[in-house]
Amino acid sequence: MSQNNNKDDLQIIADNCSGTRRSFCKSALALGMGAATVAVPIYGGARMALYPLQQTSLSGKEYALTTLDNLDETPRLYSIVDDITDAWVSAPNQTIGNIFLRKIEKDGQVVVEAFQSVCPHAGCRIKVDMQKNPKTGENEMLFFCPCHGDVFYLNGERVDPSTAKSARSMDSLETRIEDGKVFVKFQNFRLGDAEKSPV
Amino acid sequence: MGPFKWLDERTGLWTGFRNVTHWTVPASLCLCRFLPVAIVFAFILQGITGLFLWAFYSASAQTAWESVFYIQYVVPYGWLVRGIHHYSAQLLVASLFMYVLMMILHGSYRRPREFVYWSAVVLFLFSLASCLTGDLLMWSLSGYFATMARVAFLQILPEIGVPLYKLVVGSPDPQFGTLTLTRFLVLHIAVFGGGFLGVMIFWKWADFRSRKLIQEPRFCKKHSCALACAVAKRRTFWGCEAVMCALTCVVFLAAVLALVMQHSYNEKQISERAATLPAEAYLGAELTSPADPGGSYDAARPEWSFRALYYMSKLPIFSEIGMIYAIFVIPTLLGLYFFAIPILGRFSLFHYCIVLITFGLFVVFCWFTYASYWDDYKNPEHAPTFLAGQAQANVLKKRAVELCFAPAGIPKSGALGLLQKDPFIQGPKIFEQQCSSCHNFQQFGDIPENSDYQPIISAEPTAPNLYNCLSEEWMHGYQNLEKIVSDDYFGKTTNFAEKGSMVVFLKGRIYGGLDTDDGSFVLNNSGLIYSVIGYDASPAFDILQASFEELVEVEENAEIIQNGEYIEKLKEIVAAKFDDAAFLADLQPKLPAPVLAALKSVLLDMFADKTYIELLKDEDNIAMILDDDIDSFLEDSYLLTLCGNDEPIAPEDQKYIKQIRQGLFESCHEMGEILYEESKLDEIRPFVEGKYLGLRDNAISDFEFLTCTECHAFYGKENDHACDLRGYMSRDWLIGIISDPTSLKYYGANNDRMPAYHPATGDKLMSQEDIELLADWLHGNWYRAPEVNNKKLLGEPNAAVNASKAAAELKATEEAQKAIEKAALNEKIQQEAKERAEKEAADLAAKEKAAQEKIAKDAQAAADKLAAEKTAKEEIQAALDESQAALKEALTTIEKLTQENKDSVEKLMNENQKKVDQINNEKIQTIDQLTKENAEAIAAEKAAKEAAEQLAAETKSQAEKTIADLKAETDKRIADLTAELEKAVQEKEMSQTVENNTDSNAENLPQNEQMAEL
Repeated sequence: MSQNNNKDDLQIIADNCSGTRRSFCKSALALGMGAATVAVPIYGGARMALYPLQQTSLSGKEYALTTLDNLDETPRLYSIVDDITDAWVSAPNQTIGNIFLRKIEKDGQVVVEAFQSVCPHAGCRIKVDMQKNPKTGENEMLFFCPCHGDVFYLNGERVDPSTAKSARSMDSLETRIEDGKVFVKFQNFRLGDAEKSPV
Repeated sequence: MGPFKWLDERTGLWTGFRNVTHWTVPASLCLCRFLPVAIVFAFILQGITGLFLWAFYSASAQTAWESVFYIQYVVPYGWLVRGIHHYSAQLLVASLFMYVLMMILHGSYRRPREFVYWSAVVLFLFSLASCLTGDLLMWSLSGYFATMARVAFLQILPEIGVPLYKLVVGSPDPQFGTLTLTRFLVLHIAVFGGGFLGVMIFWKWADFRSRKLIQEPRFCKKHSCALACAVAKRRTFWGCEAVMCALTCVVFLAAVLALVMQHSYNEKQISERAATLPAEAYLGAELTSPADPGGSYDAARPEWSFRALYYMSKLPIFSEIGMIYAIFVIPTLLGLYFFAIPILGRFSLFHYCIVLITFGLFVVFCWFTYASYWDDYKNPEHAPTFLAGQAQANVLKKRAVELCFAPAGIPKSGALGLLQKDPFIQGPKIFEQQCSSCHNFQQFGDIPENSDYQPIISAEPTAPNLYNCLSEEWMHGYQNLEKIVSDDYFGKTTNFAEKGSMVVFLKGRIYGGLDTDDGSFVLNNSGLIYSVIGYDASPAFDILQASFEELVEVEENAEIIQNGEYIEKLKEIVAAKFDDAAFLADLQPKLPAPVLAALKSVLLDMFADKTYIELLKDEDNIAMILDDDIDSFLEDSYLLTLCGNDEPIAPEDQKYIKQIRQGLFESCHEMGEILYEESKLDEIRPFVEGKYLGLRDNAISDFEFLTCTECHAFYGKENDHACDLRGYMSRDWLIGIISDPTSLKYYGANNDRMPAYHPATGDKLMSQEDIELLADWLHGNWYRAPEVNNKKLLGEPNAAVNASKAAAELKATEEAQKAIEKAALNEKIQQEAKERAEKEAADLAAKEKAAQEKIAKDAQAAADKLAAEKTAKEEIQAALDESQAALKEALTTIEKLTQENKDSVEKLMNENQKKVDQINNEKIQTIDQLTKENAEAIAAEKAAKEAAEQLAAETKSQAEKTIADLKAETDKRIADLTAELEKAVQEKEMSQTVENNTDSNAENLPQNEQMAEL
């Protein structure tokens, strides 16, 4: 951008740039008003864009999944089904997640173990099958993640923490047994951390 | 090196910034200098708001409106961002319009500023195009049809028109669709939005360049105003000028915000908000209901900037010469004119002409715009259609928002489906389309107004007026003689009005007879009045008869009867009869309560009536009464008089008839109430605990008394001569009658002309869904949105969602409660059915058991008899044995005696011999004597022996006789007993056969039960 760089102009500039309070006020006023006007749509837009943060998620809800009789020591995959609202669409009975359930005896008591099927490493879906235990070389029933090869024992622990990609074991979920029915508190967890923290 | 210098060396940004701040501008405050600021600021606003809107918008026919709904009503401040976007666009068009006009007026289009002017014109056109494309993106009723009208004009271009239209629409079919939206989004954002930015940059570039150029001598004369500004006192931008620019932005934004808040400006406007809509419905830009490409919109209009063109295109001249002139030829010529201005205006004269022409065009533009609005809002010819269309659009818009906030929410298929399945919206449409050729639908008579319904007028109605037909008042119309044949009921049907049985029925039965020309009344003997007070058998007869008998029974009353002074006493007795529930329960027929009350007042009034007092005091009548000939008295005298002596009853004597008739009318009125209760049912009343659930105790008997059930089916009575009244006007009943009025459950063969809209076989005129929508509409069964707290300027966040959730929860608890009650009720019904079945089974079993017991009893009796006979037989046998033994004993005794006799005889003989021997020697005389004596003794002994033998023989023969008798008796008794035994056996066999029959019947019973159930 060129300007009229003659002597008069320079004088004017000099006059104007004397750094008086008046000119400071003017600049402040100009900046202030300009910023304020632009701030209105930006504020509105920011509130719009940040809306997901103030919405409540379905995480932390308890679901009745099955009865105690249906479970055994082999972990099985169960779908978590709920009515969801996807933007403006109300969709009833959608699958919002999947978990593993199994029933074991611990200290003489019947306990139900539940695990998130999302791998704590990078979010792939964990499977369960006869796998070769890298430590012992034997085939046994293990959780495994097909994306990066991590294997977990059926209690969720990493088989070999030193070489595992995942920073932590599989995420366990709270369960509750009432009248022979199994309730699970479904949650999603942050990926990657060594500590399990709900999202 | 400092950070700023480092940055400046690489990018030159700091130097550029300083150039801006130190750039000198004229010190005066020329208004037109700030229009470009407004334009640039408007574009910045559009950019920022557009960006955030773009993050939420979804361009498909099922999600476009829904995403805009989401922005407007759900996302926080979405309404503000969208509102700013909409109104700043309008102000941008206005600013550019003013700017171009200013340029023309000041002549600042002249060289060297041609490109500045041309850029401005292009910017103006781009802004218009952005408005047009943006209007469709909401996919709303107004946006869709307004854009459709404008874009459809592409088709009138020769040759390229239709292919161009197809390209714009994105499909070979004329209706807009998802592909239209996607390409309009591209046009709106990239082509016209991005293009606007590009042209804007070029515009400023050309402007800066021109400012330098105009100081050159060859141009200085052309831009005196600008020059004057240029040589005037100058100052740096970063000072007052910056403040003024900022102020311009503030003013522009303030204007935009004022438009955004235009419907929530003051308390009055806020208080007038509809109670079921959230505050966002009154903030920001409008969003009408979802577009229905298959529908229409009478009030579809372009925005204000297109109104002049719209008005021009409607001028009659263009319908003659062709629309292409209005839409394409003239605008193109105008465009060419405006583009040519810089070239044309080279000379001063031309400039002034241009200014004048432009001013003239501006005036025409203003005039056309105003005229267009006047036509729509004030022109008595066109305004009603327009305003009605707008009103309807408002109704749809309100309803769409309500339904979207309903607990069910928006389905995947989009919000339009919600409106299409809504009885509130579709009911009137379907009614108008399918029913209003025959049925009127507007308030009449004493039918109360119902704010749920708007009138739908039929041109030539021939069927009942169905306005508020589910109200009690409407149902009562059927029981009124005049109403039922009025035009609003069945007056215009051919079958019912003139020849229909119900009219005849009402007149004959309820009215009770015929009015003759001279005002007298002929009582109809088969009417209901007669059945109440008839003189040969009626409740009046029974009551009076019983009362008289009671009076006469008491002997003390004979005197007062004789004297004719018994009337008070009789009156007391009659009154008491009406309080005697047991007595009333036995009356035949069973009278409805109002009729009973009327009868009571009539009978008691008669005791004060001269005519009847005379009858009661008449000697002959008194004689009859005392003679216990009360029946004759009533038949031939008392009640006969009440019934008019079989002659027409004169008007002055009709008061009792009228009272009874009034009672009948009141009873009919109650039937209307009962029918009203029927209309509320979901299904036919079940039979629970011995009665039909919820049905008034008197309903069945009253219907029977009023002889409705002679033709109409009702609870406990099947019939198909007229409509089934069970569940009358309930949802299922309505669906049935609309589907097939010719079914026996409804009008059957008497159906006048109502089509069967969905018969079991044959053509279906309406879909099942539409019929259900109609039924739901008539029942007022549509989603009622809860009231929302929207009385604050900005309302509350998620107010509508929370209100809807609360209402849904309430409804859920209510429904859960209802479900529990219904389950309990079903249990009760099943229990009732079970009990009835058990009772029947028990009755059956009891019957069987009784039969079996009887058989068993009979068998037992027979067996007992046998046993008794056997015992008797044994006793006889024992007696026989005894007598035999006795006989034996007797024989033994006889033998013994004989033997003893023999011995004694022997002894005697020996003694005698001895004596003889002794005495032989003594005397021969004595021997002779002795021999004589011996001979005598022997003779005596012989006699004795003979006697003994005779005795023995007698005894023997007696004994034998006894034995023979006993034997004969025994034999006889045995024979008798045997005969009886045989009889008993036979009976047993018979009863056995009966038992077998009963058994086989019992086997058949379940089958019979099943058949009865079917």
